[in-house]
Amino acid sequence: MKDVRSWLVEIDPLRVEGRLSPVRVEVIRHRVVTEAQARPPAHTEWAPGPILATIALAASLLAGIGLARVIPPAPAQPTNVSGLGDEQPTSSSEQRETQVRFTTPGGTQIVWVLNTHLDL
Amino acid sequence: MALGAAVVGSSGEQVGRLFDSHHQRLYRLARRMSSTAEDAQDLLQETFLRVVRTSASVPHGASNEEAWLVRIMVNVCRTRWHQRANRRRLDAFNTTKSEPSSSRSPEAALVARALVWQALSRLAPRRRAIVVMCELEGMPVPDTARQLGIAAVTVRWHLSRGRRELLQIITRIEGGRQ
Repeated sequence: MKDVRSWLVEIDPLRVEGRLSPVRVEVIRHRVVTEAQARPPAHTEWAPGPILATIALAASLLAGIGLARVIPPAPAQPTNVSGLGDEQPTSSSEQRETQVRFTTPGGTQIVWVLNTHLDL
Repeated sequence: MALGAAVVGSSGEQVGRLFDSHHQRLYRLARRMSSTAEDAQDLLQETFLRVVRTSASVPHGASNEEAWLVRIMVNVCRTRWHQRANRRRLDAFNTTKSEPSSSRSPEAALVARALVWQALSRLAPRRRAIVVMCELEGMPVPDTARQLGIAAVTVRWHLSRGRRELLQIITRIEGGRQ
């Protein structure tokens, strides 16, 4: 009994027909190339998405920094954290810094110094 | 991310280059997967038209391009196969009724070949592609797996199932000849 491969070789249409004729090749090629040329250019060599996203992120950061410089910092407000000790809100003599102070039940004083201009 | 990879959708020249490089190989596979030469040419054309219409990037390298095109072709074949599912069930019903002749006449040989061809055509496109590529084209299993973008174990499984399905038809044909 012939095996599967022998049968497939026997029924292989390319044994009789051979390659695609040059005429048919040209017809198909023309159809495909014409369709490609008719379509508007969709993309460039470099994908614009990641570049645009980076630009947008950088612009957002710059806008945020710029706004922080323009908008004056809010005055320090007393923080009212229930369950903790005395709060002693103070504001620094320098306008760029805001201090928040509070005392824990154990007596530890905690002072947060907020630098609104992000100077380190 | 395909930064730097060529995107085909807009360049006739790029599509033409792809076509010139790969159409013969793709047509051989298409013809062996199609019932008629016209279907095969249509499959070849539709494959490249899908390349034109897709926004995906063409992989670098000739072998990667070929594998990518083969996968597109199998997907096109699969889409059509599903669309013709009802008609295939009717054809299968008719096929089971037309048993091969027990004589050794030339007509019987033609019927037998037609039955084997029909059995091959009834395989799902991916399985059919695997049987053609491995059995007929002699492509090793790892290469077939790479071209189709699937695991080698999946190729072996489909190959085994495809052989079994064809063998059922062949056994009936050979049994009728004896």
